[in-house]
Amino acid sequence: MVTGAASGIGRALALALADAGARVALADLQPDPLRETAAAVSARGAASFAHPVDISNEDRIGEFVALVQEHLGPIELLANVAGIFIAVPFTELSEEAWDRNIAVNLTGTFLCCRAVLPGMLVRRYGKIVNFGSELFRTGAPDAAAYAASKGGIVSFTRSLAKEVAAAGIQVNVVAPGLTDTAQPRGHLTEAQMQACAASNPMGRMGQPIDIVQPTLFFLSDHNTYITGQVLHVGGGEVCW
Amino acid sequence: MSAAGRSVGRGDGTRIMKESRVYLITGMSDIGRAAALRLVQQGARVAVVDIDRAACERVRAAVDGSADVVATYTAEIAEGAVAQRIVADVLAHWGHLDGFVACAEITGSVPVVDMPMAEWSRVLSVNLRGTFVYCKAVAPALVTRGRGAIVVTSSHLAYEGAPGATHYAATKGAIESLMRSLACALGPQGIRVNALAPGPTETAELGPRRAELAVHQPLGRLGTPEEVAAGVTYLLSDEADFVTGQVLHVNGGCIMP
Repeated sequence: MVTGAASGIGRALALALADAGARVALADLQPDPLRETAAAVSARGAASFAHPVDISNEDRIGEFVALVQEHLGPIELLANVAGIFIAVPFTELSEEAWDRNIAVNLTGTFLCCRAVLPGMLVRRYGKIVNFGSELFRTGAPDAAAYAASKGGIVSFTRSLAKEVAAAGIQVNVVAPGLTDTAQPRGHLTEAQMQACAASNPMGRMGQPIDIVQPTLFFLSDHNTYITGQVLHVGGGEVCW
Repeated sequence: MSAAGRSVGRGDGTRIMKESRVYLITGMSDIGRAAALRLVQQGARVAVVDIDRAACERVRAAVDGSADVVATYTAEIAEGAVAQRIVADVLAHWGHLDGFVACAEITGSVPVVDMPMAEWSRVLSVNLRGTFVYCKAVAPALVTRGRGAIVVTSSHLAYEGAPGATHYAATKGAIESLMRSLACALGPQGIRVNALAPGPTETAELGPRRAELAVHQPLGRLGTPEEVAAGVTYLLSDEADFVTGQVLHVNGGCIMP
């Protein structure tokens, strides 16, 4: 199950999982690009189920997971990629914007984990990757709510990892740096994107595939003993 | 005090200490109360906010009703409009604000798989939204003054993880990232923002787990609220003038991140 599957990192992850032979459940708020991702997954010969869903709505998430299990079988892997980025200076950050950013990113991650856990606990198998951001570590003057949501996801993940470790479920965080997708373009100009790329230690911004590869590792059976960890995937921008 | 909340034994305002610092503190449980009392001992004036009238009265009693402490209780610890009214009241009463300490927090114990949305939201609201709305409410007053310090409360559990209290841990991790963002955003205006992360501390809630927790600490004991409060007053003080965006762990070495 991949949330945020309509675009960016989520879409690239869904396609990579299809290539790896998985059946893929696709969740996203945007129906049209979601359909397009589903078609691309099908074109790779993988079974898929896609349905528009607001991950911050606990009833809708419950229904979505039930439908996935009906169509594709038990959910063994979950990647919580969906997130929104509300960019506004702190002094102008409204309570509504704060609430929305926390609801989608942090509460949405909680709700999706909670929805898949009963099945994983019964089968004593599951791997979950939640998505942080390098901004959780650095702070972001114009994205306090986004950064807070990501810091919350990291500490939630550490806690959940310990809660379910004995049941054979592993939970980790991938924390991308600036990645070449639509999301950062919502608040950065192309010139700012290029400037960030130039100042990155590796001299470029991340591509979705750069983020997908370590995510696939966390989700794979090569990952046998790693849980509760944060992996920064950002070209060396954040090394602490 | 105002429609924002009810005051308990409000000071008479006759004592004028122009050079005295003024601080706002939310959360009058052990650590918040210890921080408030320590600040008063150091000559500051303190406005305290809690949802519990008795907690406000305890801190008033501890300073013998001194005019240096004004206490307000409100059930709406996470409401921005209430926070703004309380800050406005403090400014009207003492003329300025030098800093803010966010200590209000609650926790709970339930695994993720069984956690009702209401329980998740209850903890996020008080701990995280409560910290946010007060930071937002005090920022303009500190920006106007051109200096100031904010201390928010994290926990060793943000690092270690808290199985059974994932919502609590999530709020503490979120508060740290909020703190770093605030440090970036408000630094140019001369405002420092830091977090204090206590380890297991001798508090009323600890109960029978005390001995079990103490044995695992390098210092072989739990911290006291006063020891944590010393970290808070350091971070607020001029001694910490070049310290911002940091997490100060006052935990006896229980984690060493």
